[in-house]
Amino acid sequence: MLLFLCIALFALTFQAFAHKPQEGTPKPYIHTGEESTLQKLIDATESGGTLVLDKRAYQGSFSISKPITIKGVEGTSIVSLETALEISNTKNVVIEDIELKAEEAGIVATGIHKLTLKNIKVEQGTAGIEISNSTDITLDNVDISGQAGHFATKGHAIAIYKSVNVQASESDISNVLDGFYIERTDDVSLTDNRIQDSRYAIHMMYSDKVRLDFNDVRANLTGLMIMVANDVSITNNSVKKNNTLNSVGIYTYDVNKMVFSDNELSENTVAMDIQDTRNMVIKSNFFSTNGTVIQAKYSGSVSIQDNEFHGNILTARTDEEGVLLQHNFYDDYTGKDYDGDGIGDTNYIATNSFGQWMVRKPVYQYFIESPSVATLNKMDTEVTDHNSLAIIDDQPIVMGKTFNTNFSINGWQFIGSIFVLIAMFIVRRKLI
Amino acid sequence: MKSLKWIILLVSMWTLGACSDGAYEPREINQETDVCSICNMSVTSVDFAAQAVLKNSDILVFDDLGCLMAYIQQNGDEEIGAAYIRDANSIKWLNVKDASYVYSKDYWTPMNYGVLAFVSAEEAAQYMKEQPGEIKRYDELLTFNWGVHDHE
Repeated sequence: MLLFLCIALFALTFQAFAHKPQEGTPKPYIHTGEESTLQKLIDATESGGTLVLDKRAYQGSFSISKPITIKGVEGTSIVSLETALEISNTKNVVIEDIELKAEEAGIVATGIHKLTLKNIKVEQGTAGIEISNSTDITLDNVDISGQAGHFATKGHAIAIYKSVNVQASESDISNVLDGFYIERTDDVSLTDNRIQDSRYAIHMMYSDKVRLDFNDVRANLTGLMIMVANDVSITNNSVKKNNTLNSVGIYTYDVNKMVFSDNELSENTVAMDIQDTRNMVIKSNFFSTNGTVIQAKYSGSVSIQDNEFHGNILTARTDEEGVLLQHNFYDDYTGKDYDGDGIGDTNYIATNSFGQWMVRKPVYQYFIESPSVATLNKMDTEVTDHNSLAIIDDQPIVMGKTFNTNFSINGWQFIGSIFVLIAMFIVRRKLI
Repeated sequence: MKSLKWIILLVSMWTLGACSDGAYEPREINQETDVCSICNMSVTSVDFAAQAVLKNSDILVFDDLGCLMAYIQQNGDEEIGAAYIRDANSIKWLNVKDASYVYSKDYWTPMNYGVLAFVSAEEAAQYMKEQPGEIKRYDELLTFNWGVHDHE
């Protein structure tokens, strides 16, 4: 018996290294007509040619240094104990329909002109995709998921350094350090991406001409982290549930010329933290159920207009530079509109003594809505009307434009309710 | 018995003295919860971290030397008991006034300010042999143009 077990174990060892393809599965078809490791297939493909991979797992680390299109099919994957794919110093590289599982990075690309990654799935090891010193980068439907655990131990999903003209859309990213980390990169457009459960969904530093549209970021430490940037447009994004310790929906630091419009921010600890930001317009956004909506320092030129504030604890808190509030709707505005022009007849006072203290000592937020703070807030509204340092909207809108027409039902709750009703009906009939 | 009282008194004084504000020791960085007091970034790259121990024993943490300098520029250093920066070659904390600095726009730091700290001028010079940069003194950092990005 013992001898049999030894022989079985010995045979199993060889089995683990065997490369015999499973019967019934198609063999890899390539344009070059060769069947070998992926590196040989890449080398054998002529410059500018297309390599079509079959449904199988290619094991190892591979490099590309010439124009090429590599296409997989559903089930094509690269599995590596290091970085799966390294692309360097070339142009016109397209990678499509491939799944990457790597202990280190999925893809590292440097010095590329025109790189397209489409329908790529990465199970992140230490990093997802790293691109540097490249131009004309297109990322379409790139899905990256990291391991469970705290973000401090993880790498970025998509990191782009010193590059120009980046377009990314339809990506799903979760459980990483930063969803997009973009540094010293200009002409950036991120559209319709979904990022969650990470440190920062989008983290941008030293970038010019940035467009962020229709992205959905939720349950991160911070949604959008825009630092040292110029000419930024953020529109139609959904930023929700960023509500852990130190969480912020949008954070701007040392930013110049920024438009922030038509976004929805809800259930964030702080919806917008604005520091040292100039020429910024915050317009037509919907802020609901946030702890604090606007927190601003050294940003006196920020203009906040035509927004709606619903169910937030604190509308704004700033340093002595303040911000410009104008023509917004506030659900806690108690003034009247006797002349019927849609604008309240009295000012809306966003200044809040306690809010000012919270700017200096954030830990004070734990006392929000305590009886003493509520009394202090009441006193504020009575005495700050003529204070030049107060944050005042002199044209508050009395009717909000947005009506929530969303209707949803929990399926299990519905089925449970039906069962209870039927049970009650049966019991009633039995009793009668 | 009398000498025992004196010994207890001296030990108590020494113990209390050790707990006084005179000892401004750095603390370990917690990557999961520490946030830079200036730029609000979480301090995940500990090798570049800095900290200021205030005279009231509060400790402010910074993710980059440039953020510590921004704090000093904004608030002065009257309230700071001691400030520390992480040595680029080890895990030691260096007093910012004793460290030697090297700057290059190509050095990576969390905020891209590109200034690294070394325990001695020799180690800084050694580093520059492989990674070219320029030596900076602490007093030069106080007026240094932090940042690599021109807005206007």
